[in-house]
Amino acid sequence: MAMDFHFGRRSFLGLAAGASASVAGAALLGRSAPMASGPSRVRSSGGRLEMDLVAAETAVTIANAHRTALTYNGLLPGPLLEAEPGDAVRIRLHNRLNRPTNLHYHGLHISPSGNADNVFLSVAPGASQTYDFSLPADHPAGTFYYHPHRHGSVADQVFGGLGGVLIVRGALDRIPEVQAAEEQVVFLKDLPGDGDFGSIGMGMMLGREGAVLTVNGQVNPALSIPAGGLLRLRIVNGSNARFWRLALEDHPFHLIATDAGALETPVQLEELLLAPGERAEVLVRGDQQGGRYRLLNLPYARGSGGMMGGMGRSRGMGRGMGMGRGSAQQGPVPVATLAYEGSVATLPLPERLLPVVPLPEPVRTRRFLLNHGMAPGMGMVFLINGRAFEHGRIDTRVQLGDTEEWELVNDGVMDHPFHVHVNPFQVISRNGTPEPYRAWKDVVLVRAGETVRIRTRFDDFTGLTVYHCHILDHEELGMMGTLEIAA
Amino acid sequence: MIGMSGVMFNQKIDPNRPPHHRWSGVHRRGLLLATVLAVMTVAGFGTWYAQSTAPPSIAEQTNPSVSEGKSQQVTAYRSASCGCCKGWLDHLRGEGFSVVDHVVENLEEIKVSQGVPGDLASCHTATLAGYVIEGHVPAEAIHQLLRQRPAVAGIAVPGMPLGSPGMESALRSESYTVFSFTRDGSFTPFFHVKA
Ligand SMILES: [Cu+2]
Ligand SMILES: [Cu+2]
Repeated sequence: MAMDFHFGRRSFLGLAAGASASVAGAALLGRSAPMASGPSRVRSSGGRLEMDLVAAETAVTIANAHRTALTYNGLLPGPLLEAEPGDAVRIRLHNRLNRPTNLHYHGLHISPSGNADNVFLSVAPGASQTYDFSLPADHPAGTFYYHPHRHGSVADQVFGGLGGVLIVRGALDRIPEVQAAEEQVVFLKDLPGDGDFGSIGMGMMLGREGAVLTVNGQVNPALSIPAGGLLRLRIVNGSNARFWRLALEDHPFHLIATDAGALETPVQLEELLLAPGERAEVLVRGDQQGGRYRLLNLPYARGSGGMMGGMGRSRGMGRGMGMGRGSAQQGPVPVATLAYEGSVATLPLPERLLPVVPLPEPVRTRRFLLNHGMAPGMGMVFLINGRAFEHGRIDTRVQLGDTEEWELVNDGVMDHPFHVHVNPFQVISRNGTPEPYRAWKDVVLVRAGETVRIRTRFDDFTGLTVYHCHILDHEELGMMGTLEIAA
Repeated sequence: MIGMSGVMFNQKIDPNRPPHHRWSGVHRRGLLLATVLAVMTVAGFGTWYAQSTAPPSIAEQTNPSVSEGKSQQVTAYRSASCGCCKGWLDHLRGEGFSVVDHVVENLEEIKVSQGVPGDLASCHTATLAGYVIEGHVPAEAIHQLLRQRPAVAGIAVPGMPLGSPGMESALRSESYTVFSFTRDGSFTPFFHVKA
C-alpha cells in the first residue's frame, strides 16, 4: 500500500474524525507535556472511534534527557484510546519504522481474522494498514493494551517504546463508588539506557530489561489524590520482559479488575505483581493526613524459582539476582510519587462489583509444557511442547463454543507469563491450590517449576490466533503456538 | 557453526581509557546469576535435548591432541550436562586450544577463588596462561589477551549472549562486550562483538 499520509498537527487533529480528540488526556496520563503534535487521548463518539497511528522513531525527553524512542504519533506511551461496548473502531496504522510491524489489541474479545486482531498481518516499512472491527455489545469494561505483534520485530519494537492503553468503558465504570474515584492511567515501561557499552547480563535469554523505569513515559511522575477520596489506577505492564512488583507506601491497593474485567468484590493487596502484558485496576483510599508517598517497584527474581533450593538461596543472596548491570535491582525503586491535593467528603469502597460467572466443566484438558533448550539445527530456542513457533503450522485446534482446561507446566528455570489471544480465561489452580477468587485474565504468570490450570471458552470468533510467552524475547525465540478456533 | 557466520569481531576499546567507575566493585549478588545460569543450562538442555549423561561427581577429560605445538591449555570448570559450556569448549578446541574439562558441583566457590566479579558471572569458569576466562569468551578475544598480555586477572562475557560461542541460535544473535577485570574486582570493556 502506498504511503500518502501527511503527518502534521493540523492534519492529525483533522484525521481524528468521528472521535473527540483531547489534549487534556495529558492529565489522565500524568504527562507533563505532550511530546508531539496530535492528541494524547482519543475518545469514541457516536459509536465510532477512528484515528491514525504513526509508528516511528522520534525524539523524546525523559528525565530531562533527550533521546529517541519508538513511538505512536510521537507519544510514549501512545495516545490513550477510549471506546465503549458496541463501538466501531477504525485505526489506520502507518509504519515509518525500518522494520515491519503490525498491531495487536491485547485483551479485546474481537475477531482474530481479516483486518481485526490479526497478528499474522505484516505492515512493511512505509506501508499502511487499516484495522476495522467492532467491539461486541457485551464486551467487558476494562483496561486493555495495544502493541506491535509482528513476529521477528515485536520484542525490539516493544522494548524500543511502542505501546499504548485502550480503555473500554462500561458497567464497571457505572458503579457509583468506582465512578466517584479520580482516574489515573499508569503505563509501566522500562526503556533501554543509552550506556556506551550496552547492558551486561542475560540479554534475550532471560529477556531484556531497560535501566530507565518510566510511568507514563516519565521518570518518577507526580500523581495526586484528594484527601478522603478514591484514586483508581489503571495499571498496564508495557515492558518487554520486566516484572513490576508495586507497593504504595501506607496505602494498600484494593483490586477491582484484572486483565479482562471486574472482580466480584474488591481484594485488598499490600503489593501487586504484574508480568508483561498484565493489567490491573486498583482503588487507593486517600485516608492519610496529607504528605507524599512513593509508589515503589520492589525487586523480583524471575530466573530462579524453585530451582534454587539448596543451590545458594540459603546464603542470603536471596532474590536480588544480577540479571544485568543495567537492570539489576536490589532494593525498592520509587517510580512515581503520590501527593494529597484538595479534599472531598469521605468516599466508601464499593462492596460489590460485577458477577464473574464460573465457566462450565471442560470438554477437554490440554497440557502445555514451557521450557527452553538447544534444538538440533536451531541452537537455543524457547519451546512449547517441545516445538518452537513456526509460521503456518497449527499447533492446537479447538472448537467454537467449547470450554477447555489448559494445564500450563513450566519445568524450566525461568518464569513465563502465558498469554492467550481473543478469549479471556479464569485461573483454576496453581500447583494444585485453588485460586482464592475468580477473575478474568488473559496473561497468567507460570513460575519456574509451577503448574497452572486455566479454563477458557472459545466464544463468538473463529479463525487463527496465537498463545505465547509475554516475555517478548521468549516469544521471538520460539515460545509461541498457533491456535485454530474452528466453527 | 550456526549463528556464527556474519559475526564480526571488531576491537574498538581504547586501552588508555580508565575503567569507568560504574563498572567497578565486587558484587556477590551476581554470583547467584552464575548459579542460576548453571542450573538453567542443566534444566534447559537436560530436559529437552539431553545429549549425554554426565558423571554425577567430578570427572576429568583431557584432550591434548592439538597440532603445531603452539597449543595453549585451557582448564575449564562447569556443572554437569551444561550444554552451552560444552559448546564453548568445542569452539576453543576448534581454534587450536587444548582443553581440560572439569565437571564440578562447587562452581560458585571456584568463581570466588578465581576472583570473578559477581556482575561478570556466567555458566563456566576457565584458566589459561595465568588468566581467568569467564563465560562464552570468543577465541578472538583470548588471542588478543595473549598478544597484549595486559595486567588484568582475566576476561569475561557475563551472562549468556545469543550468538556467542556455545550459545548459537539460528533465530538471533546479540551484540556483547568482553570485559577485563582485575583482582580488586573492577572491570572495563576489553573487546566488543557486534551481532
Ligand atoms: Cu500483549
Ligand atoms: Cu518466557
